[in-house]
Amino acid sequence: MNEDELAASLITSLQPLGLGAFKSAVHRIKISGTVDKLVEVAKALDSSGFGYLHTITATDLPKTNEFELSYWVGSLEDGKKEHVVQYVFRIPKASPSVPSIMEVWPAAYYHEREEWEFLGITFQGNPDMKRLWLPEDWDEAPPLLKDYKLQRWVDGERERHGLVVRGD
Amino acid sequence: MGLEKIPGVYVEELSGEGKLTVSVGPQHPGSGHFRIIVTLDGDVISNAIPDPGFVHRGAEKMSEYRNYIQNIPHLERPVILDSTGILFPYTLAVEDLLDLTDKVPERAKYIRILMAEFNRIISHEYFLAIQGIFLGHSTQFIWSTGDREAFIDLAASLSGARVTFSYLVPGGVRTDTPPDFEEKTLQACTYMEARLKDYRRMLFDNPFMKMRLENVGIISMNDAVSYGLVGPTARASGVNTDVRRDEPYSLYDTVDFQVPIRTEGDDMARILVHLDEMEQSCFIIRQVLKKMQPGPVKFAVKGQMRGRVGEAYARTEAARGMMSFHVISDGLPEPYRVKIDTPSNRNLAIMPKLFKGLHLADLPATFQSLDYWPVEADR
Repeated sequence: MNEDELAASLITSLQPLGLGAFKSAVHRIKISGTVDKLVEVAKALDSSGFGYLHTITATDLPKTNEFELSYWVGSLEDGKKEHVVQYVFRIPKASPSVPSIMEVWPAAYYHEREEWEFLGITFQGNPDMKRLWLPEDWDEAPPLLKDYKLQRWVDGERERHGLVVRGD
Repeated sequence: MGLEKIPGVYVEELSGEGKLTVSVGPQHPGSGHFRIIVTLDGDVISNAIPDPGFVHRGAEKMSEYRNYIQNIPHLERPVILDSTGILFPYTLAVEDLLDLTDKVPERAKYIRILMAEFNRIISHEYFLAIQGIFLGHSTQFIWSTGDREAFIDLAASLSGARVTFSYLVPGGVRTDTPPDFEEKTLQACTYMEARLKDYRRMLFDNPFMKMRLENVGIISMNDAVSYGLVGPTARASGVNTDVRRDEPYSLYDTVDFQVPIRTEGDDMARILVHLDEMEQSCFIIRQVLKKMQPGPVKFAVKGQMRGRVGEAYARTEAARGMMSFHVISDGLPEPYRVKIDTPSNRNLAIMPKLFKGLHLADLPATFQSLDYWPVEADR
């Protein structure tokens, strides 16, 4: 099955939701939608052979004050397994809340916790929106936000840690 | 019971039920800093909470501050045993963004396969070595650690480094093969194939090992799919997945190989899948050496690398399973966002369910059989 045939079949199975699907690259199908259709899209993808969640990417878009989320879902069925489907939507930064898809794919648990921790997006339905990767005493902004800048050690801090400061 | 109760306390008796909460880790038990908080009822685990993140270093954030070439050395750090495994999808995604995909020379594509398979063997041998430690079998540790050297030397002869090779670059590979490389590679493959037979005879047909490993830590096929498991862990549970075959990249479609599948889903199956894969890797290496023709190994990019505005998603089969990169570019020399999806991060999802009901004594062997590498999961 090539990308166009697959996109057409996905459009049919997503018919009640009124979403389009198109080829975005070789073996990549993109579905753009909204956050409120996420769980239904996940269920529809799961029942049309795409039940193998790869990852979730969330990106900070400060220019439009939005987050963009991509859900990458693969397949294990012959004729489909070379393709990866991307479900994309944007949410306003003012209310960063997304329903959890753990009921469809338990695999989402750690991916959702990760996006909560690094970008501050809350996943409704995920029971553990708490620190995992960052230090337990982390009290700064979520680090993957674009206005969080990587910090350098200044000389005083280095000396306090016993490091020799050369003229750099 | 939650994580917040644990710091500073190693053993805690919960009120009334006679259960103990024990913190396993976060010392370096052989595969990186990681902790599992287990609740014990006698010696049976009634609850297990994995606690990763001790070696998180923000590789994704750092990538946004460095250009496409500068990102190569630091992106390898999370996966030092399988540095080609993590650079392969990164390189493919960057080539997509830079429109280099069609310009990579054929010889470079074949050398990439060689390096990826060398790395798979190096990583799998390390897995076997640590599995030996976790079973208290020091022979396995010594054998595997010694046998990896053959392939480390080959990789070092290509890249100049023993651990982090930084060998794949957008456009090709850094250097061509040295003289008598083919002969040495064939020797290493012959040696490895013979050793794999020894491993089976000495280690895995051994009744004591069978008692420790068979029917322990079973993952069903349904769980493996719904929890999104990848790589040898998924294949040991009967999930027929291998990106090299499913979505062939870099001329993997021109070589013939089998994807080892087992259906038992226990610790032993996961180990045997690793052995079978190393055999297949040697088989692939032999074919590639025959197919390789002299030619350029790199398409030199002139000037600063700038990606088109857009995104690319590339996935490959690293040693521990599917590794994917989602790279978003806004046209600057640095990527706008890099998302790294590592196999260890995905295999983490099954741990709470898998460890529940195990005997505490089976925990180390079952944990290691997942080939979980904490640094890779933490990134």
